Amino acid sequence: MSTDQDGRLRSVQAHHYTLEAEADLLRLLQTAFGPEWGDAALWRWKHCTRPGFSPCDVLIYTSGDTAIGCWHMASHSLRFAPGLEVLSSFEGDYALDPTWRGIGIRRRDQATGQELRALAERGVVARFAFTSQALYERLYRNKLGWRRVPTVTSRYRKLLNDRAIRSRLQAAGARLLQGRFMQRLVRSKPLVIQVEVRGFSPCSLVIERSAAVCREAVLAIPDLTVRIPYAALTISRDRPGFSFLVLIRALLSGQVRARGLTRFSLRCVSSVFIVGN
Amino acid sequence: MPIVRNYRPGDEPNLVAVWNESYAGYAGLATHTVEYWRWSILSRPGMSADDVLVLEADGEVLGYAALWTRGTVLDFVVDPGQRPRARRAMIRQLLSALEERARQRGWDSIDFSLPASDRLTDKTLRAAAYRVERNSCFMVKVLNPQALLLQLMRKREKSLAALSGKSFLVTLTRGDDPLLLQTRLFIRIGQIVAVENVSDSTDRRADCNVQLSICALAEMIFCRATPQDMLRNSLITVDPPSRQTEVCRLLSSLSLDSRWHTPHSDTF
Repeated sequence: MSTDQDGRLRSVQAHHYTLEAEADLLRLLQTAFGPEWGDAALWRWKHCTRPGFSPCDVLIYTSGDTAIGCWHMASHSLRFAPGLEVLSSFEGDYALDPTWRGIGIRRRDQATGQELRALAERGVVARFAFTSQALYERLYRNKLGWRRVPTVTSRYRKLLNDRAIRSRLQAAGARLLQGRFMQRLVRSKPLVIQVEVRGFSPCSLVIERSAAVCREAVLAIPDLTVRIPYAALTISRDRPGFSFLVLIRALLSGQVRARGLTRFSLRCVSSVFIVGN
Repeated sequence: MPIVRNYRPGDEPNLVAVWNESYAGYAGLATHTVEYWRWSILSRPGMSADDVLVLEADGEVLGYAALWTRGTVLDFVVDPGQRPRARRAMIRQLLSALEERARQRGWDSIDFSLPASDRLTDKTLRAAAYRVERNSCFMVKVLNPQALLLQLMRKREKSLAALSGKSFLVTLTRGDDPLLLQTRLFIRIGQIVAVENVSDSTDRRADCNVQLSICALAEMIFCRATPQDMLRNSLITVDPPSRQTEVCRLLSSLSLDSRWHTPHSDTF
């Protein structure tokens, strides 16, 4: 670590929550996570109004008069096994000003060490937090010593309306457009695919050179018409084996249908051999 | 025949009771109270009390669902004591009402966080075309190993009976963890298990010395790593080596094998 970084790290101080700090806290969270993090009402609900809230649960890092980071905790008993509840700290909403990232706040600063000692003195035995898989592997596991707890929690999701289906198809079209083959295919004219998903209105996926758009209106002469079951549309890339089974099942049961395959195949061939040459 | 109705003030104790019963066998959550439920569900910004749907038969609450903004389902519970066939029908009924409510609100999708180990709910949701993802990462760090080992070992005293009279000096290293509050623990297995923090003392002697990192300890307690594997990979050292079997027995007794579930409503 450079002397400059060392000096910056030494300037960091930690304070607990005060009413005046709320604006800074919100600014830090919205800078780190975007406006979708939420507003002041969400922050107040999540932290200040939580049963058992203590000002010690919110830590604000400052350098001079400037708030540069924050860290939120919630201490409560957590069931580790039937009949065994242990006082634990749930941590989250950790945000750091972008100019202060990468110098080791939370790893090397004294304030964090003191805070953890205080947390242990309050009877907290273990700390828990959520993160993404990518951040866990890049940061939390190897640099901060966290370990992933295997859970049985699954996230179940279902699209409910035509707009959601079109948005999903448009995203799929954008992914397709990233491939070299698709870029060749749409070089001279857009590709129009009419998509029929059972239970939803048909729509047209138009893949152009620069973008993919899914429209509500069905165009008169699509290049290809496909009918797919909803389950095939929601195939998870995380579970390739299961996804393959879903596709095979849909194909064998006749739920997947395509019209205009000859025209589409000719266009594919011409894009490879004619345009390619 | 159960009906689905809107939440009414005064429902809270029954809703909390059915939630606690549903998740009684799970770890990773806390027993809910009415105060916590009101904060977690009703007081949440953007939450409408009309979006709490209660499944009821003959005045008895059999389940409920709480739908938050953009179709996030905070809670979804159906009495686990029901017969599978009846319970499946109830899950479908509540699910259908929930989807209808989400459509009325104009939300594009509906989202649940539920334990996949509840096979009946899992199957019913999959059959209703729900896509399943497992993408969040729930992490742990041990802050106070002395208190944790003491609580775990007191809970497992019976399985430690074979080690009665033995003492262990556990030296903890940082591993990947930059902050370690305790470095040495003295464990004595007797009629009452004792675990002392002896980080500041160097003169403690025990039958057996064990060295491992705080991260390795967390992996054995929370992540189902076995002491045998840890020994094979030299992540634990035992002195004298002849005591390895006893150390494995001690450390195996600490492992938590409960099903960990983190519901949406508890997500911090």
